[in-house]
Amino acid sequence: MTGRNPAEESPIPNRIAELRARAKLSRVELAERVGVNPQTIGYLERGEYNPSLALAFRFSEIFGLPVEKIFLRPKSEKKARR
Amino acid sequence: MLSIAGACDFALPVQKVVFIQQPCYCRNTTASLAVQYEGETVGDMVIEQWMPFAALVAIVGSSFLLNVAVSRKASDSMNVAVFEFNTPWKRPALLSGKRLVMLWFLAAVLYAASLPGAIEVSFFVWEVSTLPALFILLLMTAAAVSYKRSLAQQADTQLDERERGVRNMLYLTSYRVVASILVLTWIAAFLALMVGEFDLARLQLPRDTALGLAFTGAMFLWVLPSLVHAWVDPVPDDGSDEERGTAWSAAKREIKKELKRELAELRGDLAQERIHSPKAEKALRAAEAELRKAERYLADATPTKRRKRK
Repeated sequence: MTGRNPAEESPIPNRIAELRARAKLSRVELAERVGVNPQTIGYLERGEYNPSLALAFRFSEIFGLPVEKIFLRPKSEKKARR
Repeated sequence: MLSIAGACDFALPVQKVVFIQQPCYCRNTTASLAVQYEGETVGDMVIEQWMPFAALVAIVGSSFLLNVAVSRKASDSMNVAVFEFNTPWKRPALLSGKRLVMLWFLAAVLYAASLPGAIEVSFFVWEVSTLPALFILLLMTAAAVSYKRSLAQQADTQLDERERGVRNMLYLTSYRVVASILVLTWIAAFLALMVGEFDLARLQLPRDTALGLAFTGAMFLWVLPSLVHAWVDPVPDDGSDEERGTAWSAAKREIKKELKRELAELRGDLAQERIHSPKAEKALRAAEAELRKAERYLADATPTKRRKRK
């Protein structure tokens, strides 16, 4: 459950699980760096929660990648733009 | 038989005393402490009648002081949760999710039914089960309140943005539940009084029963956000990815899908010769290498296997 749960309406796919695995970080370690609870990392990885912009920027800083490389635009939005 | 040492000059029938469960107070109060029911001391009475009330006052009082009155200052200065129960053990499935909610209601019904006069049966079990029922209710309440690090009872400073959203949603849902109960009760009362011509005198309850029901109601209000949490999010925090169902495989699918999509886009661009250049071909080769690497990693590195390897 994710509060207002916008993720249920339009989940934003992300690469947090992959990037965390590459960085050899545990959920607890990543959570400490980002400043959230470890459970929230799990929710993010499963796409059950869409983070705020501030949190997305923190992930961007930690992984050293632009936000759009970590959080991917949903396909429906891409089709709509085309 | 009711007897008050040297004070009362009358005696009540035993049956009536047992039903009302009230001491006979007289003008001569010096001897009133010597009140004694048949086989029941003042100590027993105090425990049965006032322990739930004292527990309620303690819970509501401490909750108010910690979560409302001084929560911000206390949590900021101590940098700790002001009202947090951590369960160091792995929570059993029986005390999670909808089962926990049902068990709590079962305990509440058991306690309410064990109150004197609540159910008009004279089974021995009902006569003596008030305290055990109260104990079970308190136990279930502790299990519910401690659900997911007692998120529903936490101050803002102890929660991250997702958890704050969850907590606020829990209180909104709880409000809706309570409002629905009140509206339905009002409609039922209206129909009973106006249409069914219900006699209000039939609702008179013994004091102990009324106190017990009030205690259960207050406990319900306090624990309701936690029960809502358990209902809508049944997997406890210490649940593994496997317990979460297909979480890890869903994540794997998502990663593979995204890499394949990127690869297909690159191939498409190359095929159309829009960006046909050594740089684009290099990017394609890099993407293919990434995909192979990811597939290798995902194939043999589920969370379980990684843990075993360690």
